[in-house]
Amino acid sequence: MRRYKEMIIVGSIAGVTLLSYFGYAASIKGSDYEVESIRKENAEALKKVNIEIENGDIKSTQYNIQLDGQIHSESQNYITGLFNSYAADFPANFYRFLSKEDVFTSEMGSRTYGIEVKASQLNYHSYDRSTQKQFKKTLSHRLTVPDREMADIRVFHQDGMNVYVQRDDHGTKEKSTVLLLNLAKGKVEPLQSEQLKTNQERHYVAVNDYGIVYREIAYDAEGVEKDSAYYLDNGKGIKRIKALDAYASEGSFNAAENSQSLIAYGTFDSEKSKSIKWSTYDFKTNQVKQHKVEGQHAYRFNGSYTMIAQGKLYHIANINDSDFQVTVVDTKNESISYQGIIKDKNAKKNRLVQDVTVSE
Amino acid sequence: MKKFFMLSNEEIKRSFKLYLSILTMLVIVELTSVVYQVLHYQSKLEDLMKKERLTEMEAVDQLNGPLTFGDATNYFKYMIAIGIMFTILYAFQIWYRDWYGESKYIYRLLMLPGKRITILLSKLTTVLVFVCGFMGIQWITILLSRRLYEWLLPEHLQAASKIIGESAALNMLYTFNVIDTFVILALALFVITMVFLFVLTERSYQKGKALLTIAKDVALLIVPFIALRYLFDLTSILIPNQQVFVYLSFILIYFIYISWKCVRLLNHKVSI
Repeated sequence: MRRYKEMIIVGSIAGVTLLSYFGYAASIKGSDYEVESIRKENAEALKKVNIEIENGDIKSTQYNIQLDGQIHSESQNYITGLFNSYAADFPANFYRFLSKEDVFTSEMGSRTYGIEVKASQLNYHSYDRSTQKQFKKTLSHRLTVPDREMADIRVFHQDGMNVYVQRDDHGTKEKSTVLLLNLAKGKVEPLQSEQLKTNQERHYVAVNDYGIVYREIAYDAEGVEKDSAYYLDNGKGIKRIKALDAYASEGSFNAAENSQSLIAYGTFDSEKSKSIKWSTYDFKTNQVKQHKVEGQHAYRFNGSYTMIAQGKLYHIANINDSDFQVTVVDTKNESISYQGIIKDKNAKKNRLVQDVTVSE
Repeated sequence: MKKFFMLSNEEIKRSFKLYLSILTMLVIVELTSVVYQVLHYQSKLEDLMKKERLTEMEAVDQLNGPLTFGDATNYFKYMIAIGIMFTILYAFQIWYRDWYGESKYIYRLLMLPGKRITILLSKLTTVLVFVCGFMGIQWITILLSRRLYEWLLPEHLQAASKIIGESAALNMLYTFNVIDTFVILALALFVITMVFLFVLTERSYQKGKALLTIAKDVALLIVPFIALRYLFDLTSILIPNQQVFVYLSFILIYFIYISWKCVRLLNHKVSI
């Protein structure tokens, strides 16, 4: 033993100090979540909701929580960090298509779209995370190939096999075009093409029986927003939707699922409230209607997460430093179809809802 | 095994004093730097209060808020850089001292009965144990510094932060994930093995040929990496996760290659 004195000393320094570090790391407690359901209508549907929560601790961990009580946690490390989680969300060939330099990508709800415009054809790919279904179609049409640096293409509305696309060309003159991709017939139909004024921006929102809805923003010479408004173009004339003027600067109204109305959710109300609110705009009556349901607990607006999927509004928000209240609202009949609390038995702070997915 | 332990102990024994001196210096300099940062902050605060006639709160605001633990341990990153430099230099020195030392120790080493791979493994183990010691002692120093920071600085002048503070270098080294520690040690093993390969190549061939062989081995690492990157960017054959897998496999294969080459050079080429 004496012969190895130096080796034992140096080995002990390394061993004991590193073990104390490992011991400290092991003593760091993560969150210990449990789901406490207060109100539920359809237990089977709960399995389909997955809530991803991440911590801001020194030991980075991701928690996947299903409302039926299944919880998985995964600590992040350098190896897992190398594997891109964005790519992991998609099938390999779909991601490969998205990665191509001339493909324009956009997202709407659970769907991700990739559009590649060539001189004589348009390649359309989409992937739905909730159904895990991929769709591919090549549509033949003569189009000017957009300059990747000076153009943008995004899907803003989908009605079955009809996909509505906004194409912006930011050349010397700003031009905004609406294309209808008729996936059933394999055709591209240009619906509208507008030369915009300088310092003007347009976002197409929805297409329905009443016409095409878009939001237009005008900036002054310094780039500060001057005016914004929603417009309805019915093919014969353009009408400013005055009922939405008060909401236009936020731009929170989007097409509702039936596309016959617009819906806005997740807008600031008050820092602590029990009410979960959303607004709808009805084209028929030309009016904005406020809706609300009362949750069990007052929640914190800051850090709350709201989304709409399959006609339901999913609202997740902190009710204290560590617990979350989950509310699933049926927007059609303004009722709560599920409410529950994601409780952290270790009461850890600084958790953030990263993503919510609802599978079909 | 006995030969391995004997040789490892011998290597450690030869650098024992130097290593302990560096560790002690590291701890003293780091703790002193924390004391300096805290006292410097307090004196700046007092100066501001006197000259500008500010309240303590206003002076703290002017100094961009309370002193964080990250600010107090600002010099640690330089000490970590010195530790890394020492490790790399030591990886060279552990071989060259055997050739250039007064007693030409390398004669004795190469004449020892048994496999020569033991010589390589004992040197590798020594450097790795030193790296582990650095990491461990640095951790203990962080804990001591935290105590010092909390003890020296009044509570209202402290900023709440995690145990290791906000320093990017410390956060990279101490992620509190055991796997990450092994990844860092694997990276250290890779770099040390590369250094060993350079030394053994230089000792095995004449100057010109040695340089060419080293350049070839470095190119064997860099060129395929660039080629793979170019291929992946150009063709998008593989998605990013698959690309990472290819890169990691390549590094593993390269590591096996340099380890094999080190053993081969030591067995057949190294000249005294």
